[in-house]
Amino acid sequence: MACGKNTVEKSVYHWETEFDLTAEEEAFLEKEEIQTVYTKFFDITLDSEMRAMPVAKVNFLTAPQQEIVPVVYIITDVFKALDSNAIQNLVANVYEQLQTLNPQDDFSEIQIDCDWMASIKDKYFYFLTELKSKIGETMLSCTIRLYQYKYPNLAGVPPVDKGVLMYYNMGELLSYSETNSILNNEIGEQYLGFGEYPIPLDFALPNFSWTLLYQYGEMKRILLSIDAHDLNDTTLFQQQASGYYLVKKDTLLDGVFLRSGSELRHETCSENELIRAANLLSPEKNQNHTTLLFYDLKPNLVNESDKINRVFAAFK
Amino acid sequence: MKAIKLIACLLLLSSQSQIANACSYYPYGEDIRFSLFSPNISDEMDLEALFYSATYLNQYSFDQLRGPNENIDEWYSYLDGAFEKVVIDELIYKSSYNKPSPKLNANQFYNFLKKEENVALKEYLLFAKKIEHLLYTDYWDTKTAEDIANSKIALEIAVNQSQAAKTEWLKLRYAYQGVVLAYYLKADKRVISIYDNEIAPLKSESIIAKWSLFYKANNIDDKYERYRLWAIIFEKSRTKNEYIFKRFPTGEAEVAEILEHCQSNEEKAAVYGILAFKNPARAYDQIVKMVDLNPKTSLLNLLLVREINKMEDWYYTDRYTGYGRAVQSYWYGSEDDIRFKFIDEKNFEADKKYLTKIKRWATNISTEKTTTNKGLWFTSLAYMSFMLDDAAGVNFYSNKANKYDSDKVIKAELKTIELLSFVKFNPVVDTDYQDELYEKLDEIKLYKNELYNYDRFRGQIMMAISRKYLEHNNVVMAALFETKVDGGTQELYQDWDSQTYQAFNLLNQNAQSSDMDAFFELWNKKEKTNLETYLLDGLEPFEWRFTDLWGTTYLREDNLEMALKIYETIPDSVWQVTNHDYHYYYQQELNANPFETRFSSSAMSEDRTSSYTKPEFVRKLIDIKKEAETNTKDRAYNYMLLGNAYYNMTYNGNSWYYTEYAWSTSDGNQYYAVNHRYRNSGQNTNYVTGDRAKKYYKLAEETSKNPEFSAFCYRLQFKCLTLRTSFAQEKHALSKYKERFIDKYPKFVIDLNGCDRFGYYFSKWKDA
Repeated sequence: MACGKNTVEKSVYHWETEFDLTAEEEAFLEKEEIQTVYTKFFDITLDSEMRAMPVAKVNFLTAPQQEIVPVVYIITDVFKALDSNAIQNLVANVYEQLQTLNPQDDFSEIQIDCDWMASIKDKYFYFLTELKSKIGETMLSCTIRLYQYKYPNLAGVPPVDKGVLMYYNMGELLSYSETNSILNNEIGEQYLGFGEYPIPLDFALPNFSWTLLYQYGEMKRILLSIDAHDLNDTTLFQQQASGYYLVKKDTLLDGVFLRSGSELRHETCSENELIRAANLLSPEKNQNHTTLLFYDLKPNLVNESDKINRVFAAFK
Repeated sequence: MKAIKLIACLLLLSSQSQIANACSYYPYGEDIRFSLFSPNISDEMDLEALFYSATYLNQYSFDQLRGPNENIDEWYSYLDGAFEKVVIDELIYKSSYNKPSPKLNANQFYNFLKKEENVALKEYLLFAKKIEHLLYTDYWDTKTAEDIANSKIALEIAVNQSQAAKTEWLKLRYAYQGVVLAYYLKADKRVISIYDNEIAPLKSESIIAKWSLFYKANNIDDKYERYRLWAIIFEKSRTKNEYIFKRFPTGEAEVAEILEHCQSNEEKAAVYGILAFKNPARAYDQIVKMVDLNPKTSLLNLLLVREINKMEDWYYTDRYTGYGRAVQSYWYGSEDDIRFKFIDEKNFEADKKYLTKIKRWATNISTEKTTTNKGLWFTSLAYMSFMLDDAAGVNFYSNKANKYDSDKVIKAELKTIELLSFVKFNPVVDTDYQDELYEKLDEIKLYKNELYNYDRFRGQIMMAISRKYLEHNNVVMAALFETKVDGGTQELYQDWDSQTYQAFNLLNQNAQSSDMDAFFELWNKKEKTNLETYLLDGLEPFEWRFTDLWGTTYLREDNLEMALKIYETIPDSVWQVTNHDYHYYYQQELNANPFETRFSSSAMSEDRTSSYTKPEFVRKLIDIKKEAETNTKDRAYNYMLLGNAYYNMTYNGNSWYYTEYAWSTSDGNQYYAVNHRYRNSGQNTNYVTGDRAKKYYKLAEETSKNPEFSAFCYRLQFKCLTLRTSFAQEKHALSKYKERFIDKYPKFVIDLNGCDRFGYYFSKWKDA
């Protein structure tokens, strides 16, 4: 832990392709004194000819009042496919694209999100190094998953100004016996307490929910559009002792064919677990000024101001 | 060492609670989807992306033409059919201005344009080619200022040329180029004005007018008006349908609003058509509404095919490939399994009911005057009859369909239905039948270029036939057809190294010794039918593997003499291999002492000092049996050795390789192995129950003259029971056995609960 006064700032991720904040969302950001919104600008994937291409570009429909930090999500296959020349081009293209999409004058930080592993580490880190040299004084950050955090010797430490430890999506999504794959502190804590990470760290906690569809005990897909309210429809679903919701009849819901007898597991982040997560993460801080990010800016986050503040207080 | 043994014993006593999870991943979606109703049968290749798929969009591309069929068709008609469509496609879509196709000089259409009288047409195509590179959106928006300036110039030229052109054909096309140039320049108002001023007045029915309307629609602020126009475009043309499909809303309120905006029943019908395409579930209601509003809708034929493809998926995929519910080994025998099975049967009945409903509706539609392509409708009815096991229906509708002069895809589909029905409704395999089946299989090859994704399609035909034989209990034919299952569909018996070897996998899981007798009778038959020759082709290199399996089916059935007789036909060198030539490294895997008394539940052997090849092992087994039955000396000990040998052949044994070819932790703790995977095989239940071992341990206990050794042999029976209860739901049996232990051997129970003293009790065989 570095010396000096330790401060913590609150921030959020915005992960939608349309940046079109509601009045409630704007009020939430103002009330919570959130100065920065980490906004996903686009994903990078591969086309059929294995060329990197941006998809799901953000469209700013409302002018952001807060500072925007662009986030670029890159699938790992990109680094499997590209050689160093192509990576240089990618750096130039990413940089240009960020300028094109930027609704503000400049960026103070750019964040890259990629779940790198040892096999692509060299190429990914080369990309980060090149991007850093391109953006000069602008801070470059990247996301860090739990296993990368626990095993820096194996995963490598990314050549960036700072990282953000993603403390979510840690459970066994595919497992029928899993209770919460988003936030599972039993698993999470196994990755903490292994010494100070070599670069400054921010932290990201989840506050989202989703519903997982299981058929015959096997996970079929993630349903983002089906929420707790939908599951309360007793004509379609029956809650079981196991916590699963049983589909009572063949149903088409939000474009998904739910077969009778399928089961839905709704996963969310309870305040207790989030506070426990904040308590677990707090000792991992390694800089004087840390940002705690919440994923992501959606109606449920806006309506849970008190909860967020209690979690934030636990982390401080 | 004591501590290790203690842990091992504790594991032994508690192993019924040992959980082995099934692998979390298994193939799904398009990797396994089953379909034998060729989706191109409705001749809608421009809608290929919207053919039914287990994922969001169909990814497979079959269309031979690079350009949209609907535009090439228009050119074809415009040119009075003077050039083949591929020739038109070559010039318009396969040649760019800077990179002309090398075949261009020989292209008749290209040479036609060189003639003086065709100069206007040539000028237009040249213009279109020159601006082609400007009409795209670069991924990274890296268009140069020069490109933008050139686009602006080209836009003005296009509009001027449209106004100056003498024919509607050229007016429309130049104006269309102007619309697209304006669209990519993001000149929204110009897009609309060119459409309104240059294109709409032409009142053209050309698909180029519909494409132009699409660009106009995308620049309209009123989203409901945009959706209305999209619906019109979706029904009247095809090329923009994927774009519209992805963006058309399905929410109840929005759809109601769109329908309010519609100005005719045809437009409303088109809305329902899009909703039917977007519906991954049963789209009957939307299709019926669409047809009620517009009986002549152009979307109907493909929607019928989509519904059939969906029903095939729900009906066959899991059952034929062995994935889906069928592969859920983790659940077998559990309460969940019973529940899942019930759900599966209930859903199957619901699907059957829906299929019947669609068939009834299709029967009515097929008689309507407005119905186009009756050959398609009767072929669909024949296929649905096939799915519903209605042989008379198949004949009736196939005959009706055959009366129409249909295209080759329909003919191919009818041949497929005929072949599948032949197998389904004629389970008896005699020589005449085989000849006819061979002919029918051969006939399908003639339609290689017509059937959609032919290799996969043909592979699935073979899978369907194989499964049908399996249902008819003809394991040999099922296995032989399994060797022909190829084309990329993942399924239970798939072998990544050799498609031919899939027969081994199927036989291993399903054959009893009598099936293997039949298999080798066929293998050795001198006068084979054409079909038999075809099916056995490629199996020769695997002769010893199949022979090993043949002997093993007898070993599984405990017919040791026959097993030995067959094993002895295999050259000794086979048993000595240390490579992968013969299924597995025999010498490497058969390296434990199968007669070893094992004190732990671990599958690892503790004794590597003696090993036996399969024939050596069976010979020794026969000898010990004979000795135990005829000689009282060491009888209890010999019975214990037999118990050991049979135990070591179980799932928990050190020599399971004698009767099995693969071992998976997902077999563990599951009744699955008993009830499913081995239900038809000679393996019967011994591999997972240890019943044979228990029988010999019991004989050892009963014939022993030493009470300590008897108690020990009783304890070994408990081990067998533990194995059994790790698969079956018979937990109560263990506690009963423990109670009896206390009654029978009160002095030794505590000693034999842990395993510290196992060695001592074992040594008492000498006094037994």
